[in-house]
Amino acid sequence: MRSIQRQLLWWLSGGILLAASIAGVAIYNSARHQANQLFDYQLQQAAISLPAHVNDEAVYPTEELNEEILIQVWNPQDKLIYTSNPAFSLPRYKQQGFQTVQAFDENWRLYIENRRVNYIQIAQPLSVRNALAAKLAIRSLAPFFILIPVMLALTAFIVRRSLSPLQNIAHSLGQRSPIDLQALDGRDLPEELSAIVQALNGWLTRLDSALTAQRDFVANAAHELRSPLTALKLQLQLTERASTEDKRLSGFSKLHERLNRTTHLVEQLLTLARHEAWQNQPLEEETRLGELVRTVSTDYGSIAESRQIHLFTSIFEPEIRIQGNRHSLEILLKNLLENAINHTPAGGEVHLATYREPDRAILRIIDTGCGISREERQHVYQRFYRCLGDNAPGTGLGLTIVKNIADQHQAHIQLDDNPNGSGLQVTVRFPLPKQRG
Amino acid sequence: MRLLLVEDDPMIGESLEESLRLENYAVDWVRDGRNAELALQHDLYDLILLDLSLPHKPGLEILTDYRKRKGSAAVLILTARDAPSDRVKGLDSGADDYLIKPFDLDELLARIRALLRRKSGRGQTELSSAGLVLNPATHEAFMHGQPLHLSAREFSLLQILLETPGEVVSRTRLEEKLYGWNEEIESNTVEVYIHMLRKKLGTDFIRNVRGVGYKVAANPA
Repeated sequence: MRSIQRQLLWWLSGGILLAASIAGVAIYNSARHQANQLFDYQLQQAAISLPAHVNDEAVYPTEELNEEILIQVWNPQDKLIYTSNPAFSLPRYKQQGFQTVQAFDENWRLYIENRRVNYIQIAQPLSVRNALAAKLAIRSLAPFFILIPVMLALTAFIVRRSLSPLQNIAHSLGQRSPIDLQALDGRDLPEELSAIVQALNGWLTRLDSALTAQRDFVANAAHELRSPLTALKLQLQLTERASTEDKRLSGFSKLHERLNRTTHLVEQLLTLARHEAWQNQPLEEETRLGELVRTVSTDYGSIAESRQIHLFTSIFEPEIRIQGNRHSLEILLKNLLENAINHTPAGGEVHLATYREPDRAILRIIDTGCGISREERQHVYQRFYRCLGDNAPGTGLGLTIVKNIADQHQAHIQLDDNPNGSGLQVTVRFPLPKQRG
Repeated sequence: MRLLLVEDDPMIGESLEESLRLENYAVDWVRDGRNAELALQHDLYDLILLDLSLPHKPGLEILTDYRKRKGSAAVLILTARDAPSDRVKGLDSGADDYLIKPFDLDELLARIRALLRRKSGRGQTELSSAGLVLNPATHEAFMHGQPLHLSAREFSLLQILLETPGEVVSRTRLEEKLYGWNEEIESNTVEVYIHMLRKKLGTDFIRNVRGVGYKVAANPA
């Protein structure tokens, strides 16, 4: 796994070592160069310090010269009249000034001066000079050997220290229980982390409200499920006690009715839960509204007939299509139609229509029931909301489901009074799919 | 025994009403808070079965107001709210008992009997006076150890009288306790039942206090 801390440490230490090596090499070279210049100067000074007139008997103050230095003096007759070290007898070189020559298997640095009478040749082995120069150069590198470990230690310290807030956050998140969605402490954080913590806190807040909504939903659902279960249980015990066959039969039919009611509630709860989870799914299918209206109205034909409700459909534009999930749209239409049928008295009408507005596809359901009062229209989408005095069978979830599906399809729902009298008119406006090509 | 049932769910209400009638209680069923308030204006109920989530006025408010007005009926809360805090709130607001939906019918009936017993200040389950013993749980009646065959109404009427032995209960009070709202009362039904009971128990058992009502003899001390 990549670690910012390790990465920072590696790169910074590598950089420091590389920079130190380059600087070290440069300093070493320049120190050696300077040492060599100094040695040349020393050779020259040695030559100058010799007495001007040397003869065979002259005594040279050699002791104060470096013993690594070889001094030779020739007279004008080319006779070697002095050498500081008879073991090495370098030939006499003609060229005056500084030069490097090879003799006795090593390189020598020479300085030759032609004094009016004598030739003075001063030589020094390069190996000696180099060793000395290197010793000097290394001495000037000494501070580096202290500097580098200090720099490395400092780097490690700074990196660890700068990254410690990250570790603190990781630690405090790691210690949390799964339901603890409290915001992280964002004080005293560096700018970069504070942005992350803020974003994280925003997300935690959203998660918290989503979880709260979910918890409320579960609590509500449990509460709402208890009612039909109570009714079922009571009816079961009553039927067990039925004293006559007639009473038992009517008890059984009530049991059936209540079981259906409970099943319906469970189905609606599942539909709602499923659609809330699908909220952000892309809608890829194309659905023909006309065909949908025809299918659903056929399904409900016999129910409407048994309740003496006239159910009729008007499909003005059978080919009109909308972008959406066929199954969801069917659930939307079924819920609206069930509501209409359940709230319309015998002899009433339910009218299902689909048509087109310039840039919208319209689905409209009109019933001749009791309608929904203006004040209650804003509440009807809440889960488990039942209108006051509403005795029709229902779970209080139908319009919540409808609203969820409509939102998923970016559709808009409008509730109005039936323009032709009492009842409700529901209009759902869907956006038309974008033209292709 | 007259009971008020406050329940907005039509199916639960229907079953409860039927079950309670089968036990010979007079039952009035109201479906929302406002009607519950109206029904409770006169303190004629022995027991109230109260749902908490009601349209128009929540059950707990109804209960608090009722107790403020010194309403004396026993109150049994029937609710789907099962949190301990809700239970505590319910009992602290003046309820005598608390049952969580879905409940068992037998348990409900047993608790109703217990509450009514407690309300009348009795510890024992059976009622007795001058050799007559009534068991409200089993609907059995014995006269000097011999089983008696009583109709449901006869049993209820005797039970009302035996709740307060030695005290006179008016005819109107008896009617109120015997019948719910939607039950037709014929003008002389109470007299008819008293007549039938006297036949079975002997003429002296139920005394008629002219112009006031009826009573049974107090237990000898």
